[in-house]
Amino acid sequence: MRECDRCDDAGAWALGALPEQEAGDFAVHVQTCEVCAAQVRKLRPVADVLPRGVEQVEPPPELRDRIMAVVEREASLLAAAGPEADRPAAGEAAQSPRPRGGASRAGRGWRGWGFAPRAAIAAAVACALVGIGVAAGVLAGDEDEQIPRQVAAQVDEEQAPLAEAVLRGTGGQANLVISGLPAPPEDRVYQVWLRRSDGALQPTDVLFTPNSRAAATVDVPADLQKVEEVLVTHEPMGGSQQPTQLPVLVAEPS
Amino acid sequence: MARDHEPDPGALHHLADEELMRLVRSSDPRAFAVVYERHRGSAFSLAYRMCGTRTAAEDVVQEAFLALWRSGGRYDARRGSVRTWVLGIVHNRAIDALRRATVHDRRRASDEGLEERFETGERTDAEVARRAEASEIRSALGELPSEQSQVIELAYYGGFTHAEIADMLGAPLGTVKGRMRLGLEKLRGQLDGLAPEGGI
Repeated sequence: MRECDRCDDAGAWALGALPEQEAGDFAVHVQTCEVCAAQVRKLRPVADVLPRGVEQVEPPPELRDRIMAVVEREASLLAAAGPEADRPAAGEAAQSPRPRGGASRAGRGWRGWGFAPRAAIAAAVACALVGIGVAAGVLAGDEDEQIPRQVAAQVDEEQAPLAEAVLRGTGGQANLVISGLPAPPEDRVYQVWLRRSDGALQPTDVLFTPNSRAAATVDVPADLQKVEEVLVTHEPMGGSQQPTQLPVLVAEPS
Repeated sequence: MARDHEPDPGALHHLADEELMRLVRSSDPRAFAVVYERHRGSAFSLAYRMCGTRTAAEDVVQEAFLALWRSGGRYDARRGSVRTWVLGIVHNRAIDALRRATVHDRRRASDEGLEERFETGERTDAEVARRAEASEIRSALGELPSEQSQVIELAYYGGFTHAEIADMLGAPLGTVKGRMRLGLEKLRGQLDGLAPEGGI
């Protein structure tokens, strides 16, 4: 096999030991370097075994009681919210995760991306977007309710093959919790966008880069009941008024 | 949250983890309780190994399992077992906790006395198997050259970056990364028999 001078990073990456910028850079590098990708495929399962090698100790029974108290309370509230409360997203099978790379947003369309040339739209339709699933869903309309609603985002597998993201909202507050997100290309930054019910795409001033573990938690400046989609693209430093790239991820709050 | 065909509570214990996760996804607390019972030991053990104190480990495990409850739909069986997924969440939460600490004191728990303090009585077959597996993995780690096992343990269980490890050991970054890679490659060969769970 060919060598790559970044192969040693694969071990550190699998162990979670790369510092901030390097972890993001390596995640991007892996997308184009088959040598390093093979190293990751080989070493990551080894790192996954390590947690099973620690001395086995039992947690105290009180811990279960504390956790189950929260879970039972949230389950009751979700049940009270009705049968739609934990309904999976439209088109998604409730009992089986969507095959990775097997989903397309063609049915929902990429409306509003009028700046994109036809070829780009075709590519967007063809590209593999990964539906990660939906956890807790819509709650009854009690704005004071503190149980978060959660919606899994769809991720563009070509731009971010390891990414997962969940949009969480409680009352009028929302945030995106993202993992496995590569650092944006040089001199670019991720930007959050909102699509309103009239189809208009609104830029936000939320700009971010993932941390050393390729993760990010960012506030979404919107009431999710008034937003059709939350999107993330990478843009030039300082952000854009119109998106210049296809989205890395899209979450539909309702 | 309509569940027209709810499994009998007793039957839940016979379901595979992946089937339980489907129920967790539909907000079934009884299925979640079974998942917790199955993986609490592994999760707490890892958190305790990384955090070094019982209180911190309990916090990490609580955060991790509530995250699992609230985002059960994110589990994808094609990426690995439920156990691997749970332990991955615990590992990430423990690293977050370690890096949040204002004092960079990552005290390690002495294993002495732990069995006595936390033992819960008779062990189930699954617990016996888990302990045997843990022993096998520790043995494999112990057979690595010490400079390789050292960097792997500091990185994975200690949550240190390679730069921090290089500083600690007074070794070049490239050397530390090389030891990590070589150590993992050797472990891969030694732990081949654990493939059913880890897919090595």
